[in-house]
Amino acid sequence: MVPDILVWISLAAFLGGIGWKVWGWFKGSLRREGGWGRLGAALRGIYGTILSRKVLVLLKALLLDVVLQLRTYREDRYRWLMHLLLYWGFGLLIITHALGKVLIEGYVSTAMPFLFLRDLFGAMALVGASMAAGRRLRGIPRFRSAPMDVYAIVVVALILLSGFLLKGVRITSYRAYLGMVSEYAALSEEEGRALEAYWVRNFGLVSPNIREVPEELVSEGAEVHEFSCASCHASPRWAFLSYGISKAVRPLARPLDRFGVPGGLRWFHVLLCLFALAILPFTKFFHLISVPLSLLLNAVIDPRRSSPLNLETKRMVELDACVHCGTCTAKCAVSATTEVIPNRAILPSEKIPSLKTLASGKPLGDEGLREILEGVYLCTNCLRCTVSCPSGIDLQELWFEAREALLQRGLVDPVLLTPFSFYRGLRREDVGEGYQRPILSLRERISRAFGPPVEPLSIGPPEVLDLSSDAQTFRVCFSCQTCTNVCPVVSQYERPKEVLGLLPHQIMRACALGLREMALGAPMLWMCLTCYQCQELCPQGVNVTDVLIELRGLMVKALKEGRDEVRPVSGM
Amino acid sequence: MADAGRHPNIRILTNTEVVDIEGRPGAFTVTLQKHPRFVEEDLCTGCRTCQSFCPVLMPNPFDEGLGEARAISVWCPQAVPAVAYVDRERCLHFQGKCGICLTVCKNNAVNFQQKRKRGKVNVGAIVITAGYEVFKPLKGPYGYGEFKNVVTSIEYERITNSTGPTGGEILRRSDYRVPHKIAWIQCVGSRDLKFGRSYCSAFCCTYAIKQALVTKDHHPDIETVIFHNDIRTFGKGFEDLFNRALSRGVRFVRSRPPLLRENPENGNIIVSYVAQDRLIREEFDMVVLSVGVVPAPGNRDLGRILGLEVNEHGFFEIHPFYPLEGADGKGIYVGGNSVFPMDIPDTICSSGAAAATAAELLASQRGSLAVKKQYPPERSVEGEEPRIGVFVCHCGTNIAGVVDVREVVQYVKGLKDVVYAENQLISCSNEGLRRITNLIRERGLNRVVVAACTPRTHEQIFREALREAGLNPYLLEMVNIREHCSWVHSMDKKEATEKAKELLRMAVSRARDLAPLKEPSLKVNPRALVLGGGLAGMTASLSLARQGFEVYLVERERELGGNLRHLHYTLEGGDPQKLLQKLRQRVEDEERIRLYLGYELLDFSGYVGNFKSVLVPVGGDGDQVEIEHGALIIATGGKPLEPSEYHYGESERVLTQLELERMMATTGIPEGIRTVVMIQCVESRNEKRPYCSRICCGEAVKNGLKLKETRPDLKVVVLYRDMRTYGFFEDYYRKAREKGVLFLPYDPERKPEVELEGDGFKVRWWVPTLGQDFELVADLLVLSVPVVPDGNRELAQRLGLPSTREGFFMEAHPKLRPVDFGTDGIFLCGMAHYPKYISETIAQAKTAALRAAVLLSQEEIRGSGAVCEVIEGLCIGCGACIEACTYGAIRLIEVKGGKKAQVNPVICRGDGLCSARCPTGAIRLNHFTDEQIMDQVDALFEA
Repeated sequence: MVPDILVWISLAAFLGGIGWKVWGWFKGSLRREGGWGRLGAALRGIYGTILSRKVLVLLKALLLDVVLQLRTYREDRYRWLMHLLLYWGFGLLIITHALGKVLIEGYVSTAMPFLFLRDLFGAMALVGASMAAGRRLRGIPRFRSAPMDVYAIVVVALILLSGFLLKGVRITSYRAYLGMVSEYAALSEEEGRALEAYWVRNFGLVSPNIREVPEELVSEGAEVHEFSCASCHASPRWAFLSYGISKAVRPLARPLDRFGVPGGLRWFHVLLCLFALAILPFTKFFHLISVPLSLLLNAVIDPRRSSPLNLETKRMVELDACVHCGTCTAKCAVSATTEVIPNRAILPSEKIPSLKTLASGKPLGDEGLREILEGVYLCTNCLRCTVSCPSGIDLQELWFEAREALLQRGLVDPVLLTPFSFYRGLRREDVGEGYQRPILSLRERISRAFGPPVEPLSIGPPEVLDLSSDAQTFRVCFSCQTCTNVCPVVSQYERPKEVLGLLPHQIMRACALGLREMALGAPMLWMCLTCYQCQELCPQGVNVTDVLIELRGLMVKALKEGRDEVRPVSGM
Repeated sequence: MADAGRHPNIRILTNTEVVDIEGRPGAFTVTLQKHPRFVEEDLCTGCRTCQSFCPVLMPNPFDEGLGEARAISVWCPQAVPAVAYVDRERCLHFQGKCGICLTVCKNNAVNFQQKRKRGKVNVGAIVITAGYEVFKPLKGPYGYGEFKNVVTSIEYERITNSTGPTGGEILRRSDYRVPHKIAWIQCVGSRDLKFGRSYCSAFCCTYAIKQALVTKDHHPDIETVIFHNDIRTFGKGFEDLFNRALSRGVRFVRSRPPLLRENPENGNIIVSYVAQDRLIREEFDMVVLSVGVVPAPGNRDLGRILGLEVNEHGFFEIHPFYPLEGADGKGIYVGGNSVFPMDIPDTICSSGAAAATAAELLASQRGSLAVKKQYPPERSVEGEEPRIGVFVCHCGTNIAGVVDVREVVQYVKGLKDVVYAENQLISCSNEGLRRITNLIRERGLNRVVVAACTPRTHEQIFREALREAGLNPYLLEMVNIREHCSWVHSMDKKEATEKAKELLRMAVSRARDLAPLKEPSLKVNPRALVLGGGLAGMTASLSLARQGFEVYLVERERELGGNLRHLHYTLEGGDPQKLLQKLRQRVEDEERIRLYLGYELLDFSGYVGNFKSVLVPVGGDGDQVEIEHGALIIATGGKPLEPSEYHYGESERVLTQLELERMMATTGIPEGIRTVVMIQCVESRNEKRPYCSRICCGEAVKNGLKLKETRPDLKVVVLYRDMRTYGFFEDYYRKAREKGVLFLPYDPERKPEVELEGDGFKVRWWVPTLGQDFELVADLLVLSVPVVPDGNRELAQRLGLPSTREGFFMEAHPKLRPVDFGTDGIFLCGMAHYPKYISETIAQAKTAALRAAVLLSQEEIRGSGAVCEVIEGLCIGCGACIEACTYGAIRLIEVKGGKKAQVNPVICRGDGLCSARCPTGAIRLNHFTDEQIMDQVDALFEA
């Protein structure tokens, strides 16, 4: 019915798109050259892996991470269930329904078990899709869904719903019935009437001819059915969901049939599927390919030993593997900063699109560049995003690479260097000489902006610190010093106050006293590793880390007001 | 516990829970369920023989699992009832083995067939004192359960206790060494929302200080450090304890270090914290976690059965003005730690008050179910030669396992005047006691010696046996051959047997001299005089009146109310003025209360049950009134100190907390005021007044909240030393911070300085948290001044009662007898005792009323026969004995030959101090006469 040419076109678009995307993995880059050399390195790597014991690691990752999706399970059981239903429901639907004729010998869509399985898998996917929609509607703090997220859910839902509706209407369709009879059975008129009666009684058919169904006719029809149809048409009741729909549309069955709705629905369903297939590589659905790949790559690639070229390629795959699920943003230690600085690129999940643009070599624009700069520099390298990513993306590494890539281009946000200086220090070899320079210049700027307090101090109005309600919890601090005593940064120094300016509990106190300058000037804000130990152990429920992070945001804002923000620094 | 266990009118049902309740106040039927303990309570004598044979070793629950116990055992040395129980989980019998206890129990008390039993009891009122549990920090950063040398304070309590697992030697758990350095960490499971416990457990600070001091007593060189966030020694005498700890070198660190680490090399615990801006890593041999109060786990179920509400913390909900009655509490009264975390004296007051309220309800039926035992008439032994019977108890194997009891009996039979002697398996068993009674009759014994355990617990029991045989109970002599012999000499059986013989020889010798004694009795005047018409006085009077006693209520001022008149709000949101009106009305309507407004006490004389007081109108005009009464309750209250610091009196913008409260309730806060500064501990907790006034922190929080409520724009700053918002008051402290009241500590060494400046003030102080000087312009200065005694000293002198250094009345025992005095018949409550909150005052007043009612409800009171007696002929009337007597039992009377001393035998406690002091030997202490004691001593050296 659907011209094969359409199938071939969409298949060609699909494969072409994939080829283009894969080439993008080798061509795109943040810090290293892309091109054929990278492809060669990748082939060598694949060859080496498949022929080594690493293949076992690969199989393990395939089972645990791809098939069972244990990473997702660890982070969020709701999402795991949702995703598993979608993944397995839709996947099996493709095998047992869309590709049934191609893959399965003796496949007949109306026979058992296919009739039942289609509805079963479809229902699974439908439950999964509604769970996904529910999750998006419920929302994740500070996270917003993108149009692509909506597209993905809507397309899946439309395909499934149109499929169910199609089947439901088809059950009742007299036209479809006649088509089947003429195609598969040669019946006398009497037999035809009997079969029709049987189908009306048992198979949900709505016939224009029959109102009352006499019993003997039905039992006669049963025989005809047994003889002509039963071998390849099971009772539609097995298609439990569609059958239910057929019952619902029964009163409208006649007009629907007359206006050719079943046929129209079928067109809609198939064309939608083909369309989705054709543009799949350019949509979120590409993660069907990129996420398993990312998971497998991360299982076998060792950052210390693998070729830098392959690492770069891996990062490009990872950029494609982000499904914008929001897990990283929910876990992000510095996401509270967005409460005081309205920059979405602070959130990890929102950095990915900009990084993709950067990697592809396209221009990002001044505003975009400023935002991504701020975003990558405000990260504290707490590793939570990497640990939690269900797609196994090493996000923290991406941020590091992005920072260094921007540094290579001479782009640096001088205000925002300190918190990751530890990490930079640890990776001195990657960074090169002079890694301390930005820190020192930052310190100087801060101390110029927020001079030491002059005694005696007075109590300021509490409104001077415009923090979110989470951070306003500093009010209930009763100075027990738990935060200070458990802080791993504090415990690095003999005389911590000399280095940190104020200790965490003193910062809470300074906030309560409205001592804005004093609080914002404390180097502690920059040293915080966002390990959250203080917040976890605070007996009074003060969100200590959130306070520190938001204060840091405030000070960034204060420092930047009216100043040049993005500027090339020579000699970096 | 022992008193409750022995009391004829208290039936103790252990292992029992409430299943159901029906009926109404005054007539409840309660269904109880008693779980089996597999030992018959009326047969078991607590001899612990079973325990010594039981092969099952298990962690001792009484020792917090630190020591060892057996599967059948008596819970703890002072268990009441002292009856063994079987741990069903561990006992081998339930696994089809063993059963040795069945055979070794000579009284056949072990019964493995015991089943769960249900029964009903009819009661008029119910008092709930379901207690509390302690917090177990099993999960969390402290490392408890993981590091051996981190223990809870309850475990440490057992470690320092002489009956504990280490025999009272302080040893740490990893290697049983004496620790050199111990840290206490406060607020474990208290004031911690992370553990879901926002409240303060009220007594941990004090017990940690006590433990540190006890540790110093054991080994003065052990270094002790207490990590805290506010030391809360708000109770009477507790600030002294704190100061004593400071002077004995206990270190206090204001820092909360919840993350502990273990040094794997030596098992020491590393505490890391910041103090004086320095990072300090200190190693301790042991860390004690001061764990807090957790409500009893059954509160919710019990609440459901009884229809009581449970608050968000899991304690029974009460109204602060009716601190004993649960939400719907007619007939059901709650007290102690079921309603609020509290220490021993507060618990006694709270539960005593619950009992008092029950007594009010049941007043019409008082005594109707009381048990009174009937005895045969007493046989005179005058002129008889001593016929001594001796009974030597095996106490299972407790005694007989060491001392050769048969040899001892043989020996005793040879002593002079001993006409009968035998050994008994268990003398205190019903069978043993019956045998003693019968033998006294059959053999005509007129003196009885029982060689068994301690008279402290058993003398009364054996005296009963004598009385049942018609013998005067003072003809009994007890010898303790268990604690004093078999237990302490268990390694040397031969010597122990010899010692038992000697002890018995001495006892027989003393028994020979024993004389029958009469127990004196006194009539009691069933009226009470209550001094002070404030909250405490009114509450006590009403309680007594409702219990059916006539009360004379005396108030110096022309109106009732005392300090309650000046209160307008409470933390919990109650209206004290309403309470005052209600109480006044009730007092005035109560027929049994005679009010003397505007009167004070002029003269006071008499003794328990028979006091005589003279009242005069204040100012001296008018007639004196003479009153006779059986009991006296002192509720004369206290008053706020008029401060001499901080420009008080110089500016009308300097107020006390009470004045601020009045301002808010009447005129409101003047418009121009923007900043209010409160200073805590003004002229208290210093050299001159070294006590904490207990209520001022709550008052500051209350007024701070009220200020913020009426004027959210106000800046309210509270300068404090330690915030002492104990118990659930902590929630209000947090709420005040939430609302923006600023609480800032100050250092007592660097007190805030205040300068007058225009209409306002300039306040300067040093904030220790930030290490910086602050300056603030304030428009209103509020001083938290202490409650000081109100004329107590003169009254104390007039009544001959002791008072504390600060001038509050001194009760008989700060912990165990918080409303009594050494002098019988006089009771104490309210702020005359110490500053306290409304609910605490009500509780203490009711308890004082209950204690008075216990006295007044008896037609006559009986004293002991073993008291002092003056031999008139020898007395020279010098009065030395009067000074020696601590109970005021002796006075001089005029007789023909001049003045002679006379002992009131009911008041006398028989301590013999007067007898020792008397220069002429004119005072004899009956039952411990010189003759008896000398003969006993002589007998020791006879052999």
